[in-house]
Amino acid sequence: MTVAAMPTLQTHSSYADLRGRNAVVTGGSRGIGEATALALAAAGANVCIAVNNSLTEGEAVAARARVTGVDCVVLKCDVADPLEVARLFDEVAQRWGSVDVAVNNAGIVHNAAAEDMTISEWRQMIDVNLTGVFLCSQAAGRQMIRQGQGGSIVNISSICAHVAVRPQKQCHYQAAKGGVNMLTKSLAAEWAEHKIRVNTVSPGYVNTVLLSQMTELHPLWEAQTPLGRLARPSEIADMILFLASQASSYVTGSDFVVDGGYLSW
Amino acid sequence: MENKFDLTGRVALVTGAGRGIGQEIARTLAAAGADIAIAELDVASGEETATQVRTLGRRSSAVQMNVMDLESVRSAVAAVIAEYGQIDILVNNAGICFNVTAQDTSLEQWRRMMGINLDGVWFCCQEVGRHMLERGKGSIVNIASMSGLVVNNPQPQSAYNISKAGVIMLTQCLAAEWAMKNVRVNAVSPGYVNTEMTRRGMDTPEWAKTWMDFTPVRRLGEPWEIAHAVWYLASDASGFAVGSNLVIDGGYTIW
Repeated sequence: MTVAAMPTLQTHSSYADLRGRNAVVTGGSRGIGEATALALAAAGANVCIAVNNSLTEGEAVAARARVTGVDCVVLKCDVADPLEVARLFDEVAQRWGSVDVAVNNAGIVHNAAAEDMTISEWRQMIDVNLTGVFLCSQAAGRQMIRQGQGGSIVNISSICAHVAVRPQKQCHYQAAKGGVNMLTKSLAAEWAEHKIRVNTVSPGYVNTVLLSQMTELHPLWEAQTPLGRLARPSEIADMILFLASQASSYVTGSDFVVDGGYLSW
Repeated sequence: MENKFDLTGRVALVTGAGRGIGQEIARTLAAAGADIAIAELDVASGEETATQVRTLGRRSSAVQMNVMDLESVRSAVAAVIAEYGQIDILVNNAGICFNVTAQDTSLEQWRRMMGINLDGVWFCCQEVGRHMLERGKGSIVNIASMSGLVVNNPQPQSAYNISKAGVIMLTQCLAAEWAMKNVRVNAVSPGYVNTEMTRRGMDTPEWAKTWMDFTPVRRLGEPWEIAHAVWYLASDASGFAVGSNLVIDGGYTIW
């Protein structure tokens, strides 16, 4: 039985120390991904911001991340494309020598009533939000197994993995997020022997670009949330920072909900 | 950049901090800047922790508290508020475990388990919660257990498991009631952690074998690995975490 080394009071005082670690954040140009890229950089990690089409926005985030003194790169990646995902993790490993943290955050949202949903809408959602997480986890896991030093994979799920949200109709999104949670547990169990930890964070409603297309629903969502407000992206990023760092070294297969109390009701 | 994890100027009350996870929580919150009031049934062990905390340069003292006795909780909480002026963080860590089959559990054993593990959390939340509601701020962290979610194997401990399930729901209830008043309530649910409480079990080969066989990472957790999550929940970094239960179990509950 190996016993985890106790951190020093220095690491205590900085909470999460990621100096010398290399991280990939998909969907890192805005919202939770942007806040996460900045939080990981502030903790000392080199960060790769992977984006599908918002390269300019990604560069702007990278410029802010570099202020902390870390290296930051923006790479193009469609997480639903296995070749692009493989290339992403290869490039990062070549650039910095390792991938230690993968935050699989890229995702889309779309509303459609189940009876009207087209097969292409369903497939696109599952491709990006579930298969994308699998492909990125697999690529990160393969790299981490090769490295032999373990690593941390954080998949961004949702309260939608736990309950059906209302009033918007999005059974494909809900199914994808439910899948992300069980995928995460399976990978955590399989890769525990490689010291790769795999966890999810399930945010409630967060004030991001993703949800700005539904601003008319914000008052309703606030009323459904005991805390009475939406989250700021940084409030999710701090949870991700914990799971990315050695501060969470005994956490694997867990789902950490940060939802302002939404699931309590 | 502002440091949301900084606890400088905060006062934390940690129950059962004389040893094990509670002691490490006291040390961790102190390292993050908080002053630490320790509530202990065994006040001598609490004093030892307080001495350790003071070496980190923080104020710390121990007060006797029997968490299952409401009067004891009341007077101890009042004493802490009198001494420190405020309580910003409450960590309900005090708890017991014993192993007996359901059919052989006596009424006295049942009441003692519920009294310490569930009534105790309720009493402390209520007493300190009132103070926090008055001040309009506070963070409460309840130490529940994975045993509130799954049944441990092979040792029988139904009363313990039931008490911890109660703590998880208590956490959600108070979190929902107090969210708009800026008093957050969350839980941490450890798996098997390297403390005196589990040492007995690890010394029983059949138990140790099963425990490790059921834990994907094949080791016990260390107290600091629990304490770091408590730190997160105690701090402003967790401002949107309300009614959450952070399971830290090396993957135990996956299988």
